[in-house]
Amino acid sequence: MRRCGLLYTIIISMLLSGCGAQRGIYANFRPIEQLRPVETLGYDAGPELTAAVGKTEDTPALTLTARGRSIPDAVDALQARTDRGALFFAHARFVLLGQRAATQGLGALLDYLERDIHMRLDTELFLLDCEAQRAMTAGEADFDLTAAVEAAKRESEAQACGLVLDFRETALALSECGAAPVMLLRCRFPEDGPPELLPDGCGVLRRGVLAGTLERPLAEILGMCLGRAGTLTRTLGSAALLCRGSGTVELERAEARAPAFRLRLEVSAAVDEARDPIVPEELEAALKARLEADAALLVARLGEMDADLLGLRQTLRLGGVAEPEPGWLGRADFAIEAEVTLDRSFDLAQPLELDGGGRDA
Amino acid sequence: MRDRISGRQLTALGFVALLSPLVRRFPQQLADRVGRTGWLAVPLAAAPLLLWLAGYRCLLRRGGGDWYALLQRCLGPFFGRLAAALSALWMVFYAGFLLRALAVRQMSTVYPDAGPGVFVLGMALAAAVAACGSLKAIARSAMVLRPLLVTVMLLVLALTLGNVDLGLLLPVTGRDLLPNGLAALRLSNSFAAVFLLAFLLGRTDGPPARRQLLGWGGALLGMGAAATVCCLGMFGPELTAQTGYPFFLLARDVTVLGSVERVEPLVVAASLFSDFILVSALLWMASRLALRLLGRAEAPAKRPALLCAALAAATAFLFPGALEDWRFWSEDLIPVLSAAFTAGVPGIALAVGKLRGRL
Repeated sequence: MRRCGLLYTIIISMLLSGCGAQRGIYANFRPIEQLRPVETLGYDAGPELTAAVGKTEDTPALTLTARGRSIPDAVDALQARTDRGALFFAHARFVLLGQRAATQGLGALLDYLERDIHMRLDTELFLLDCEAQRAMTAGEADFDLTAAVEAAKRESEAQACGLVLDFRETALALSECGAAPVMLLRCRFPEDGPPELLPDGCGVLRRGVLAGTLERPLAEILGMCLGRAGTLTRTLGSAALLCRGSGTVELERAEARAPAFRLRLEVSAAVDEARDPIVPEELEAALKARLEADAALLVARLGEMDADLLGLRQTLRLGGVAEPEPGWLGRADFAIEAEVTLDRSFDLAQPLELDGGGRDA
Repeated sequence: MRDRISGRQLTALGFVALLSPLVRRFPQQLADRVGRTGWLAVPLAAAPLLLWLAGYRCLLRRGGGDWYALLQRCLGPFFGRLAAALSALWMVFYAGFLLRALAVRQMSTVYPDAGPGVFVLGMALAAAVAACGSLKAIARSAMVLRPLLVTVMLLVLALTLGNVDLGLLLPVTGRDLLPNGLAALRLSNSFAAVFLLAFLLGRTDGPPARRQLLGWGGALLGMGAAATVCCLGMFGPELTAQTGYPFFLLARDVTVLGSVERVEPLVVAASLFSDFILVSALLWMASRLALRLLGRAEAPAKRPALLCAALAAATAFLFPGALEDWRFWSEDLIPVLSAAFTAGVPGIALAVGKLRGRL
């Protein structure tokens, strides 16, 4: 009996282990030295996929492009292009969306990201103002695209709107609100240098399709309202201000057809640079006006696009309106208030004298 | 009979057997049936669970601890044996369903290129080995696996809880109570199969203490509620309803200590322990029932156990392969049949027993 038990245990261990031929459950097993990790994936219309493969001990970094009838087909075509090893998508950190693909719709991509067991849910999505394939293949062989995207992400989170959403957050926003922001990267291709990816505003996905873009100041207000914005810069006259803040939206009139909201921005600012003498109160008032104007433009643009990026549908639901009427966002009223506090400790009544000589009485 | 277990071990058996299906089924089905307030149905499921417990407790207290003997006493020798035979067949069938369910789960989450055969046969072999042995070994396994399973589930939930958006779970109004109550009733049939463990009461040193049952039952519901809250709060009701196994999707995103990622295969593998315990217990009970029906209660159980395991494995392959058909069986038909059988047999036994004055 004990021998039988031992035999059974051995058989079961062999059956359930990862060893053996590349079939069935054994197909999951790959020696680690044969894995070629994909760090960034580009998605263009077609569908066409471009994979930025990281370097390993034995293999250099490379970029592969392949097209297919469907995304899984394109993935298989990518696999077929590797001369050594197998592409490994489980650690893909970023997905770059080409402009044309975004305008045609991202439903198939989002479905694939959710269904495929290898892809991560915290893969972050970025929208490019060009085709992903061009941005990913423009650099020299030593150009680290993933590092460039990472740097753009950090810059956005530290000094801009910070609207870097991962797949889960994007899918959740689309399913709950019908709209989601996606960080926009402007691509520059200098002749004598590597490509530059610069965060600049955000794209607006509505039902999985790119409905438009928001310029940087509007995207920053949106980021503030969503609690993602970093330290923003606003230039007012000769003064440059560093602003940090948050935004809240309160429901004032719970109505299915034309609800009313109050959008409050609370911003603290510090003078980063002032070429001329400043009057703090005037600066505060100017900043307040600027922020309120930007916020008003933001809600107007969102209403035009019918894109509930602020999650107002959830606010309405909590206020008792389960199903607002179609087009409610365009008819909604917004009262906008900005409360600005200028940090007095950086005030300089006049610029510093830097030409020596001291000051005589 | 020397092969006896304690009430604590029986409780552990029930807890481990229920934990995995609870965490797997509740979030997706509640999101599908009720929506964002589906998490309410989990605490509401305590009511039918308590009714199940009270009903079985009452029946067994009246009739003594041996379920087989109780059926015979209530229904008479012929119908009692028939009911016991049907129970054994149902246990084998349900074990086959569990084998197929775990194969589908593995193929959907970790091994998309595999077929069901290796998982069905592998688990059937493992459960056959357990069913050939003593009940004590299965119960001790449950005692050992219980903290492991709880730790794995709680780890996933704890690492996820901080990112839950409570706004996705609200608002709760009075109108949500009825759909949640109905969903709780439907989902309480998830508990049904475990009540087949009542057949083991003839092998326990005493029934489980009420405090233990309520404590572990509460813990079970608590974890089911937490899993539902986390899934709904992370993915929203629509995505949770569309996903096959939202709890495993949670695990896909978990990073442990900032360095260990993609732990979902481990979580999916841990859920296999729950199936192992329940399938082993079902095959053990079915084989011993078969021996009692044949009047050979003291005979070695190796051959009947192997036969039951083979039948269960064969049953597993009879289920349809198409996902839509499988979902109908696994989410609609089997749970209802399980509940009907687990309530019907004792209900009829109780009624007939009372009519015949045997209780």
